Amino acid sequence: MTIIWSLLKHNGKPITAYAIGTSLYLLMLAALYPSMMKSGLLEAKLQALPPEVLKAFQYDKVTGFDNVLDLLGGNYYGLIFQIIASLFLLSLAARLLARPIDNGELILYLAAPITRHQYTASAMIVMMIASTCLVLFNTFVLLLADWFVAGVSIDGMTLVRFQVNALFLLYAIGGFTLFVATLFDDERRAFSIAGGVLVLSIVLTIGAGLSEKMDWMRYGSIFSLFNTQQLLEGTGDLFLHLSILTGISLFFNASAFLGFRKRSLSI
Amino acid sequence: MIHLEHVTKEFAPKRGLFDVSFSVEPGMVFGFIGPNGAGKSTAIRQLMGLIRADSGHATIGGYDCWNQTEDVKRIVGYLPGEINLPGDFTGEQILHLMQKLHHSKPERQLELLERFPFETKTKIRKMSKGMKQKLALVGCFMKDAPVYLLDEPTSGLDPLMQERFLALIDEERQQGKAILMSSHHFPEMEKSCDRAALIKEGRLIIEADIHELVRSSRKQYTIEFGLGAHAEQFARQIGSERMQNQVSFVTTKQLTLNQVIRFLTEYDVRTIHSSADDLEHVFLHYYSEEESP
Repeated sequence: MTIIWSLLKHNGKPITAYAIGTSLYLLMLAALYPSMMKSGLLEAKLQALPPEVLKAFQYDKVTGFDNVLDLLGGNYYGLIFQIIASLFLLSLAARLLARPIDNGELILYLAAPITRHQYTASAMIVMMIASTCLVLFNTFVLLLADWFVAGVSIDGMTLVRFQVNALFLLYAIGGFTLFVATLFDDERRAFSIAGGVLVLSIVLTIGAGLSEKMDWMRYGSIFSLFNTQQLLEGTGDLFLHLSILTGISLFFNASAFLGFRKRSLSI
Repeated sequence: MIHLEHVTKEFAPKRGLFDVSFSVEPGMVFGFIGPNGAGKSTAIRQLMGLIRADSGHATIGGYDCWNQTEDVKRIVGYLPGEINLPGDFTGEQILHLMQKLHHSKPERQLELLERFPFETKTKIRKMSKGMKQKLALVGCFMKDAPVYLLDEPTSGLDPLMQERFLALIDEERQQGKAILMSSHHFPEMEKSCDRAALIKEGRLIIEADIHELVRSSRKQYTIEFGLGAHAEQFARQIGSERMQNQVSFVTTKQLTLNQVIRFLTEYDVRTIHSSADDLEHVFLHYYSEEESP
């Protein structure tokens, strides 16, 4: 518990900043939604955009926007969330493992009678707590908008589907970034390799939206397991996606434990 | 208490540790001497379970340093060579965290803070090297462990703090602690260590009782005479050469210091200068010997 508490204290500011920042963005969109709908501004803007761009942002709605989640599904969860999630978890994994290994700060913990497994488990738990905080803050502001913003109504089940899927996606990316962070002595190298894979995933997601022929690219990306269109419609196999994300998370977290246990550390 | 048996860890040719063996018993201060990159920190990291040996065996208190690292660290106080701590934390927060992680007593922390005082409310990133070193020393010794591994413990400390550190080491030794410390600071090693090992390119060159090492050393002196003629005559007597009014020589079994003093009574001597501290001289002697083909 001491390690977890200390790591949370050390990394509390960036975790809170991401959670509050994304939540304020969601709250702003939710607050603007009624006036955007009334003025027809949103519909007009979307009609002006090329269909490829709309698909890249997972705007597939042809029937209009019935709900603020329809707007958020494209404007936040379609692509922005994936980018923010990647940056958030990359920087957190770097702060928890890659950087302390690189600059030697890790010895503060490893000189104490604790095992590397205990430190890795603590880092993993901190990443999970941070991911859960982000999703809970986001959920909370959307509920606030539902309760207090006139003209905003959020379907509870759809919101739960979104947030649970988002949380499992964060756990899976978190496992991957933590694993890469255990592999290298050099923080920048760990950051660029994990970042490279996540940027490739984002590029594949965008590329898949450019034409029907490129749709296969979506399946090369972990973000295909967070399909906002299916989440909005309640179609698709959410449980399959959650199971695969759980598998990815378990695999990379277990690899992080094994990899870090066997490494020689020059700290 | 601390045992390294034929430990080898090769990073690159001549880099790492090669067949290194030594032991440190309770109540002993063991000095580990060598230039940068010789392998001192690698040996200490080996003992801390941070590096896995290619071959050989390292144990502390009977526990294997790689496989039983948790048990090892329970009985070891460690002072790293580079003090890297989270910059956002204050000294007080770091000590509090270390106290919790190591289950150490707060009274011992207060006692150590009196010996090595510094402003504990300062953030790490604002601390000078000396302050960080004092913080690390307090953190290391407040554990009151039976074994201490100290990598360059006086680096950055002022002379007063160095003296206090040596006094602390002496007290810990008297309490039966086993202490391994690496240093470049020869006077402090001479004062504090019972045994010493010289390491070069990952290999132990010599390991012996420190007093034996110093006794066996051939010490170099430089004598300045008032007259050039005296310098010339003295140089001829001892089979050396003069440099203006100065003559340098190294004591040997044939040319002892007592003999030289007898010669010098006949001359006008201005200064007598010993070129290096005893242990430093031993160190330089072994290093130059190894380097010569």
